Amino acid sequence: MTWLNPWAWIGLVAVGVPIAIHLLTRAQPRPQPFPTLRFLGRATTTAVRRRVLRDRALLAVRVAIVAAIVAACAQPFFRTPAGGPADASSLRRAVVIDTSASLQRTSTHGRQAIDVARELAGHLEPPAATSVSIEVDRLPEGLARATTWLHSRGGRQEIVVLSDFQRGALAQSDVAGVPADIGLRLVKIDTALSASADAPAERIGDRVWTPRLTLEADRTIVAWSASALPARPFDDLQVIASPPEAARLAPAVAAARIIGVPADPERHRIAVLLPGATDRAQVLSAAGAIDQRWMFGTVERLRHDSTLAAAAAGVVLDRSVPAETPPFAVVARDRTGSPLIEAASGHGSKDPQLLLVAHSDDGLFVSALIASTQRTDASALSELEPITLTPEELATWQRPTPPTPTPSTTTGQSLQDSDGRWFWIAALALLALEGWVRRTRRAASPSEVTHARVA
Amino acid sequence: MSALQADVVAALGDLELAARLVVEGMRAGPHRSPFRGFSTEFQQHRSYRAGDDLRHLDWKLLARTDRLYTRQFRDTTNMSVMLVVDTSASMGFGGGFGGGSRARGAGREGVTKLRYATILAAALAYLAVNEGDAAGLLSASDGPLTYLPARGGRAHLRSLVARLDRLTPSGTWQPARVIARAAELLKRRGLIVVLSDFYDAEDETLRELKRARRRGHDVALLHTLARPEITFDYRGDVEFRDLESGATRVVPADAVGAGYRSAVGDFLTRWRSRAQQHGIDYALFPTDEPPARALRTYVVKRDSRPRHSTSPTSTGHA
Repeated sequence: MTWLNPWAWIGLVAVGVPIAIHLLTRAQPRPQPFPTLRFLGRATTTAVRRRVLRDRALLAVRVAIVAAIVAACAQPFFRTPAGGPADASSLRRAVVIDTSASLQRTSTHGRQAIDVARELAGHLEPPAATSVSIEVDRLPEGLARATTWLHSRGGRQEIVVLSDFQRGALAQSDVAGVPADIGLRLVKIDTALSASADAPAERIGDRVWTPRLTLEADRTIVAWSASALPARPFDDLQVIASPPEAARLAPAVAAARIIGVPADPERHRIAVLLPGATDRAQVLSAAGAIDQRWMFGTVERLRHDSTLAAAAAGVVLDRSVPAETPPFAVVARDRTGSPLIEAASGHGSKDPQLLLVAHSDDGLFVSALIASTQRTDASALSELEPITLTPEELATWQRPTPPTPTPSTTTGQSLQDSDGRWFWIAALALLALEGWVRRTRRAASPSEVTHARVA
Repeated sequence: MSALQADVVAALGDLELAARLVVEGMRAGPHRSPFRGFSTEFQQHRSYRAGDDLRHLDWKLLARTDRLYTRQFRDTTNMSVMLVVDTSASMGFGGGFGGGSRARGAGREGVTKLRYATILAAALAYLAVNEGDAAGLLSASDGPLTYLPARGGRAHLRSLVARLDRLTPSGTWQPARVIARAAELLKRRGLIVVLSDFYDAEDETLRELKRARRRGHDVALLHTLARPEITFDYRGDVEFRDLESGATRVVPADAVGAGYRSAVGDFLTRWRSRAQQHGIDYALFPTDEPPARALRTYVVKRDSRPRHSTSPTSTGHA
């Protein structure tokens, strides 16, 4: 049960009114010296005691009337959105933990920042009745998932984001997407201000030039290093296609091989299986679950590759392609949402290779796919951003958790639907009881007179 | 002289003065004295009136004139008046609220019954001494008897009044014992005036009163009660404390008032009827009545009622 208008409980001080009236008007037995008690009835003391008891009952009823009225004014709310009992005042919390590369750096506490974030997540105050941790490397996605999780729950809701808040990682538009009745706390994890990473290599002539970027708060250092092309530079990419497909895609493949620079051609081998490949069924049957870390990374990079996504969006499969059963994982979908690229672990001649199953042989799409496989993950460079959102900016984006959810937002009920009516009914019933007690008290007096006369 | 209010009289520090004022106020009426002594000196004849004692009928005159005449005598003999005053704690009740114990009563308001009784007693003593009679005092509570033999004279009157003035309410009293003692202490037949609220030992008290009557004494009961004892006009819950026993009882006064008044009415009626039955003067003296007026009313009634005296020669004077 929650109270929509808890300030009304201040009205409980009104309970003192009937108590004060009772104390002030209570007929205290007045001491009176008297010559003899012989003419006073014996049972009169009992009668007084009975009346005192009735007076206390009357006082209790009157206090209960005031309390019921105050409780009704406080607008109790018994039900949850599901209609069952719930403690709407308890807190539901979704904790979004930034797992991006920048959090892998050392924090100002000397530990890895991600560990600090996870530890903080376990010690957030106040304690929440229900909470969930969502670890993502993209904060907007984390906010969306947290909002979705909270949407199905009642009570007070809060999202806590633990991140270093590199500039660009979170925008005001992302924050605006969080419903207003959900509190938002942005907890900044301080990390080292400078970091270095290799930028995508460039093939210039017969050498591969790799820039190493070091971003600091006030400067950027780029250090180029040259290396010779590998002896078997392109053995890492295998295109399994029918002869006509291979012939049609030969220029695209050649271009990709010229432009692209494989990250680690000795170990990372990729096979692209086109729809017309003669041994497609055999290759598919030999596929297994992705079991290499670099395969996960490559699939994830491909999923976020904007070039590949744009190319996939231009494809509409002429037939509905059923998704492959596990262990295949969807990498990209066409405009209608049908799986366009699926990934699995294949088995090449030598080493395990990542098998990318393409369901379309569209030239532009396949060229983009082949080119994407040959790119180093440039998105990692964003993790070098040394400038973070300022505490002032974060403060403007934060908002406190509402004390109690309004029924209109959490339950779909209006304020008029509060359960205060039950207290009003109780107050009326108590009022009737008070009248009955008073009438009983009045009716009891003649019997006392009779009793005294007999005595 | 108009009758002074009871509280005014009671407020007088000089009890003798108070008694004199009462007597003076009482004399504004047609009667001089409440005492009709035992006289042997013939004064006059008057026509027989219904109620006259047939023993005083002049039979010889009846035989000669065929008319009924009653012989009247002048008060020539000294009469002894023994004033018996109840000084029990219940006599300290004045009708006011509160439990303060003052020298002359427990109430904050009103004249205490004892004060009122002492005023009456002093007035009677004053009256008796002025008439040439003797007045004595006997009072008692838990302690020894306060006794002053019945004598005449101004000096004795002052002594008696001083004794009365020193009486304070305390403890309980044994009316039967005191009345019996009073009857014994009167050397000859006299008047025993008992001033009390008569709450204690009704039957024993009545028994001794009857015995005193049999010894030839005239007996008068001046039943002294405060008005609240009769009307019981209390309100709300009241914790009554018995002035003598100290027992307390909380009662809803509004509820028990009617029953109380009925019981007190029965009590007063019982005393009045018993006294009348045994030839005892009885009069109720509420303490809010001006003592002079109350005493005069009493004397009028005493004069007008038939004599039950055991004396063969006494009769009232006009």
